[in-house]
Amino acid sequence: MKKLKYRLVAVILALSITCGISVGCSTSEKKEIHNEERVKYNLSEASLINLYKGDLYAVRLSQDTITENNATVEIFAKDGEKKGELLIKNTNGSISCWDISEDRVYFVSEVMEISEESKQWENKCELYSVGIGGGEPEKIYTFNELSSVKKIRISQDGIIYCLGLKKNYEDYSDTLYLDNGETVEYSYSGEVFGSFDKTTGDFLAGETSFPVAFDERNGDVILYAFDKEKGFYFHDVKSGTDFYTNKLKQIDDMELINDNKDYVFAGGSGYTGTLAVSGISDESGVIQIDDNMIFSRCGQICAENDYICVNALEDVYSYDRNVFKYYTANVSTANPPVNIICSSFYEPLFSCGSQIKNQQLSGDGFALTVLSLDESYDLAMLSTREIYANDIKDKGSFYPLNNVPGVAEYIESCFPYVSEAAVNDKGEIWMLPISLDVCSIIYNEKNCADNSITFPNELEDFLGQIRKGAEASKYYDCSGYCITEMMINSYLSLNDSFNTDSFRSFAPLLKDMSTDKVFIANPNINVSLALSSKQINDKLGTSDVYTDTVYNGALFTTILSSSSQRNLIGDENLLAASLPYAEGAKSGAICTFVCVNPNSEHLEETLLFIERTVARLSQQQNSFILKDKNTYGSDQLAQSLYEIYANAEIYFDVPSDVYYNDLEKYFADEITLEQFISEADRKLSAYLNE
Amino acid sequence: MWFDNYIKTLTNEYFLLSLKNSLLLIVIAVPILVILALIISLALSYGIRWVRKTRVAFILPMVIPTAGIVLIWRSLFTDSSTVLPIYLLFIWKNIGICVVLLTAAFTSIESSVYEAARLDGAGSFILHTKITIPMIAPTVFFTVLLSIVNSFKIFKESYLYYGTNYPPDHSYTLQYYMNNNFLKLDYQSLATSAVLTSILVFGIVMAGMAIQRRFDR
Repeated sequence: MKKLKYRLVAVILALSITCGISVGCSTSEKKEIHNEERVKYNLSEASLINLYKGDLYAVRLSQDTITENNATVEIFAKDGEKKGELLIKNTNGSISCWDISEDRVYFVSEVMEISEESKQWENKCELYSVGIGGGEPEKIYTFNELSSVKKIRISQDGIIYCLGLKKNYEDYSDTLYLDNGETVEYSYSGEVFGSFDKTTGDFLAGETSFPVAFDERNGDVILYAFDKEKGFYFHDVKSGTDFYTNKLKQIDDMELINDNKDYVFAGGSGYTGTLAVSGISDESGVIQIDDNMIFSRCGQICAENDYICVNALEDVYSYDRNVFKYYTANVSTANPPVNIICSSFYEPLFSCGSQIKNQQLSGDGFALTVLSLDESYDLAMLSTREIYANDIKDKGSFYPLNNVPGVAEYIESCFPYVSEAAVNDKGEIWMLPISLDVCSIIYNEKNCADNSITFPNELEDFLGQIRKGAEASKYYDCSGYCITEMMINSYLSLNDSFNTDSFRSFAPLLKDMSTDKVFIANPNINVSLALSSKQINDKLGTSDVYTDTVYNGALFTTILSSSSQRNLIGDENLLAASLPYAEGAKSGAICTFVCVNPNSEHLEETLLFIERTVARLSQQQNSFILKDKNTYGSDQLAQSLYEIYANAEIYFDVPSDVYYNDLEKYFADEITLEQFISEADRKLSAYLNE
Repeated sequence: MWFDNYIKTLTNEYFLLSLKNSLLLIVIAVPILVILALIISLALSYGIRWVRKTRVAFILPMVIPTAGIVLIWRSLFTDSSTVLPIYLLFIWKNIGICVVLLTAAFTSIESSVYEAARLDGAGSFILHTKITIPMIAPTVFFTVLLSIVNSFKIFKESYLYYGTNYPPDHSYTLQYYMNNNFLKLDYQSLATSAVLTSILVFGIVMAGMAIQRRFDR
């Protein structure tokens, strides 16, 4: 028996030592991720771009078709400086696409001609090549069967791959319903993928029925196409293998950027405004590199040796086009993704050059994962509304961000109450604030003034004004739920009991409001949609009688999220007002933030991601989290929203299940106010003291 | 530092309230449950016809999903000002397994033992005090311990019945305290209350075993 005991102890010791050594030796290979370098060229209105041996070759919109049938190609060095020009003579039309290979420029020239057969105007596409020094182009082929060529790529073995549009085709569109509830939509516009052999002079149309985009890199040709049964897929032309993935759906263009077959793409469902990279496997996420990228057509992105060049609008509100270059040596879907867990839905974080993996867990699952210090997650994303928020700070389940470059400066640049909430008693930065949301009233200044409607902070007066608005127009929207929440949360920020005269004074008002149809979401019209539609129509110069009609009568709407509020900025008739809040308190701001898992197995990469995220957050315009007023638009809505956000307060909310069920019973006359106070106080006391 | 968290937990009014409620459940509901189970098992062993016909009813609570039971309970008990519904729910939910265990104990006593005692002149009282009770005692102890352990697991039923993490004070048991601290990510309170609960259960089991050993002697 004694021997057995000794053996057991020896086995346990041996196991412990083995485990200890293995843990000590487990140095996981970590790849360093640098910040991307972004170069802006002095090249407005470029129509074609290409990277060749590190230089950027570009043709300006005004230069691709000229009366003398010559095109000027400008050449820019790596640093963005212009280093020369080349003249392509007798282009015989406009250059629709091109590629540069083996010191020769291959381009497709398109010209409108009257067809001898149909006697109709038709696009004639001809393939030419010319030496890199310029000169007279040599005609290679005429694409008789194509009305347009979208893209050409010349492979190392001399084959020219191209994606064009057929002259004659049958329209086709399809919608697939995936198992995960998503839908995949596809429409066919006559695309055909084929190859042209320079040596034989033959053009071979590929067998793929519905090609979408393609690219070639170091001899590998990857085609993105649609399949009627399974949706979108990548087809490796050389090996014949297919990789199915519906994560991006229909895209406009793609360029391979590395040997891992990661690609940068234009378009794609949910990524139309970003410069983003992904991998061909279904598991690869999407890495966003920059935002406000509006590509207008195919051929506006190109990549070579870890550089990506894009030709895009400078931002979503601008029509100025320019070319930007990004260094993406370390952007790869092979790098470990940043794993983010949350227990409610949040807009995914901008990935800032990292792959992001979001996982929404149940409340219990989230608590269990955080409590167990699970290594597999890197960031916890939550808001101050959630029950866990305050305890993460108090109980230390975070990695302090004080030493991450830029974080302290960013925290300092936020509104003072945000900075205060982000730092605990020990001076540790326990969270990174991402966004603030203060539920506010957005109103049409003129329409409200015409009806003498104002928005005072005192509840009774405020409700009276809303009722007055309801009598004046049917185009209003005021959420009673939001008002109740704002009142109670602001009240609880100052009190730890409902048993006060202050609560007794406003509770009956909330009760009256709960049964008043005026404060139920307006079923007639989504006023906020009408307001934003009007703004969009005005910007685009279009007219919409319906929104015009509604807009002229629209009074106000309640908008919870700052992103939706931001969408309305630019309309000179709109203003913002805060919802009423408890006496002595301030408007309640909901702060969405991330905490770094101190036990994360990718801690180093996660901190680099935080560093890049902070750099991006610090430069945001109209962020409604930064205190510098200069970063906000000059229009009156942005300014009035700024005032509301600057004077708000973050409350770590008492979970609504502590009081809301009983409050509803009180509203429904099932219990009296005193019974509510007694029951809610009991629960509140348990919540605060257990 | 050191035992700060334990002191904090042991002096927390809600931990003490939950501890009191959990112990009351053990002190009041467990004896009622075991006595009821004993009576039913005896009736089944003696072959009382109407009891035998209803024996399926004692197994039903074990197979009906908790959510279904709670739904019935909510329609039966509309007043939540007393702890009675939870106690009854606990008894009803656990009586099946107790009856099965105790009936098995009763039927495992060989009739030859009783016959031999009768031949030696033992009366009915002697038969039960000297044969039946000593022979079923280990099963009764086991049933009591099992019921005590099960009393710590009444949280799910109680939570569904009240529909909140904050039930009336009389029904706020240790599991509520731990669950709420778990949801608030309060490591310290959760860990210390879990350790204290484990010690409590361990102590109860050890005390039960000690009593059984003394009884055996």
